[in-house]
Amino acid sequence: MDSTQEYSPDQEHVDGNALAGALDQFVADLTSADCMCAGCGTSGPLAAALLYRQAPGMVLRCPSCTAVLLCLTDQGDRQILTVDGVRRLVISTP
Amino acid sequence: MATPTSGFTGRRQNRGANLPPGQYLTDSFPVMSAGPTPHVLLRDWSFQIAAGPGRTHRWSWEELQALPQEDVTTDIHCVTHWSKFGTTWRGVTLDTLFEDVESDAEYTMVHSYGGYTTNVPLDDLLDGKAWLVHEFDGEPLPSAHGGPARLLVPHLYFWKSAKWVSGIRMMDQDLPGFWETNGYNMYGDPWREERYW
Ligand SMILES: [Zn+2]
Repeated sequence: MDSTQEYSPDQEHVDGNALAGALDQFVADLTSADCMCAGCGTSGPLAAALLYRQAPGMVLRCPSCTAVLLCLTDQGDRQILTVDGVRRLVISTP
Repeated sequence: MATPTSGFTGRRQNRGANLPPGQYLTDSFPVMSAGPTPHVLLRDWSFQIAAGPGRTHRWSWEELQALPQEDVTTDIHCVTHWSKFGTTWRGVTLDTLFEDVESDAEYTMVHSYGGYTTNVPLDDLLDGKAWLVHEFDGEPLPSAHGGPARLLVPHLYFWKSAKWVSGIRMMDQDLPGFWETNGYNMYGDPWREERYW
């Protein structure tokens, strides 16, 4: 957006709450999702990626280029997920 | 802060005074691994300090070995709750490496072969508080523990002591590295139990 322009509310969007139902399938079935690595572009099921967990968090890496796909940190009262290395997730819904 | 519930815990072993809150003592040396172990040939290895455009200082393996070496005995504390006392290392103090580095930057990003990063304030690397080590327990540092060379900053949680270290980049502001982005503390003082944000 041009810095001289101001954001004006529009009628085209609703708030993010409406996404909740649509995301349920991903959350329920994430390991079966087909994942594209943002680093090398290779796609494959998340379940076939490389999980390293002898670490302060769980690190999932691309089996082709070993770049970090995602990292999940368990702090007890807070779970933190970063997904910098994921370009796309595909879930098949028969 | 942990609330003492009994005097017993503190007196159980007199070395308890050296154990930061929330830590347990181990005699083993757990291998922490968030990715594949990079294998760097010594002839290809280098360490660099990037202080700004055109101000990069670089050392080859031979040049590192030619610098004054120090033997260090220190306790180490991993954020996954284990501590190990009296570990012995050999390497070069960061004071030596920063001797000719001119920069006004107060923060650093430590980089490793394999892509790992962690942020450390410059003050915490100087005045005898940090080393670039290449020996553990009298032997060449095994790759599983960060060899050929790793950073050793023992007064901070051990994720700051980057394995397979390749260089340090000076920064004007404190930016998060890998674990800091993933929920861990920007500073990481084990005595103040600075594990998370
Ligand atoms: Zn990849």
